[in-house]
Amino acid sequence: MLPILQIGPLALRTPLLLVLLGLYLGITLAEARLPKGSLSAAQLNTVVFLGLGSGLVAARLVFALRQWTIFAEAPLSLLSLDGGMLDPWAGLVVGALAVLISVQRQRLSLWETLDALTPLFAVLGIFSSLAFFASGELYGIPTQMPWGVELWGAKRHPLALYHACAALLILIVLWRRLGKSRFPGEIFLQYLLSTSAAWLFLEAWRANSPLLPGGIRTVQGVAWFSMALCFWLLNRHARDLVSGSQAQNSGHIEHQSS
Amino acid sequence: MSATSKNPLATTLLRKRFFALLTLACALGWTLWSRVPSAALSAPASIAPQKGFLAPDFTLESTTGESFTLSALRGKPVILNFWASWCPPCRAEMPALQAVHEQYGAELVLLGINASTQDRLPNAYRLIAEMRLTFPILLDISGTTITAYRVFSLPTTFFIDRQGIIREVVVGGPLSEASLRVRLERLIAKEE
Repeated sequence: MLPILQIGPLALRTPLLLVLLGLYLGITLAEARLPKGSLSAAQLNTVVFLGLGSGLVAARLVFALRQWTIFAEAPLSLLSLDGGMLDPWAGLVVGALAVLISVQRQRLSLWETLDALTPLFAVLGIFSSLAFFASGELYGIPTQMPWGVELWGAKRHPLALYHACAALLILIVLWRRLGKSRFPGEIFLQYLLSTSAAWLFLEAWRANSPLLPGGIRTVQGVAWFSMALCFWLLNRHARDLVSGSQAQNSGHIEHQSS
Repeated sequence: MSATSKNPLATTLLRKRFFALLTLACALGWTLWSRVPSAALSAPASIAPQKGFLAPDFTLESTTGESFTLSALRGKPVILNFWASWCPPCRAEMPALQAVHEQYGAELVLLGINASTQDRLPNAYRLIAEMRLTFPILLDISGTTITAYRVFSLPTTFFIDRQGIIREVVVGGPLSEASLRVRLERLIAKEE
């Protein structure tokens, strides 16, 4: 755990640095592996930065609206660098909407754009897990395993490192498949499916899981629905492929008989 | 012959559907098996300087000679602000801390903890006088409290609820009055 990196008089927040590094490497990697004939690097950057910018602004504005009496007295606080004054859900929803609008305005295919963004998501997955390890916010249940780490008064499963390893494995597997999609969106859906599965599996070792009634872990519930959605979408695309191939076969037979 | 046996793609599709259903069934089973038992939910919180844990207890003397024990303050939200006089962000956030102390003093306890092992006491006293701080400033002469709270950087601020559970840790600063008030309102509102 290393929440602060002290360089002389400078105290740098390690988790933030790791996320920024992940963002930079992810964008570089996504640009380098752009499928031919899809979107350009400039279009990809527009989508990413529009999504990030809109998400951040919305996260701050919605947070301020919810605490409007305080922000009305100190409006300059809207520009504060305090990361605790953000509404993450509002940021996520508005950021996603901004990406959708950007994709439509640039007349791009949404699924192809998501495929192109997958290396960025995968690299961010690795670095955000490392950021959680540095901050100590994502920690496991106590363990006697030799790889356990001393954290918060006990020897615990290094859960954030498990997540980082899973994200790295997913990136390696998907790396070989990049540019070989049978249909637009396949790479992204496979990434989402495998990441959801990893979260669902690893959450069992988490010590501070948010819970649903009955002690069900919220993350596992969300991950299960995400997996079901991915399977459904992948199946739909595969079914279209089969129908297309059958239509092609029957057309071929008709052509031969005529 | 059926369409499925004619087309290998259709056979693969059926296999994939079966795999998907099997995976989802296993995932559901795993989710149910790994749910948190009710006994664990009612277990008392353990002690650690992290959100969701019981704040480590301490007894420290203030600059006015008064003794403060954290556990004795249960029943009121508590803010612990670790600082040193040489640290610019610590100095910068002192006026905001003083303002919230004046505004919320009746509803919560604000304690400034001077990292005395890393500071010169005359400088600390000078800063208290210059800033006209009226909230209690405790002196961590032995450094045990700063160690118990794993304070890696100054300032570090802990927001503790009425039950002594840490609700938020803010590493670094300076905290503005607005960001302090937002967190305090949340802390007070949660417990009303």
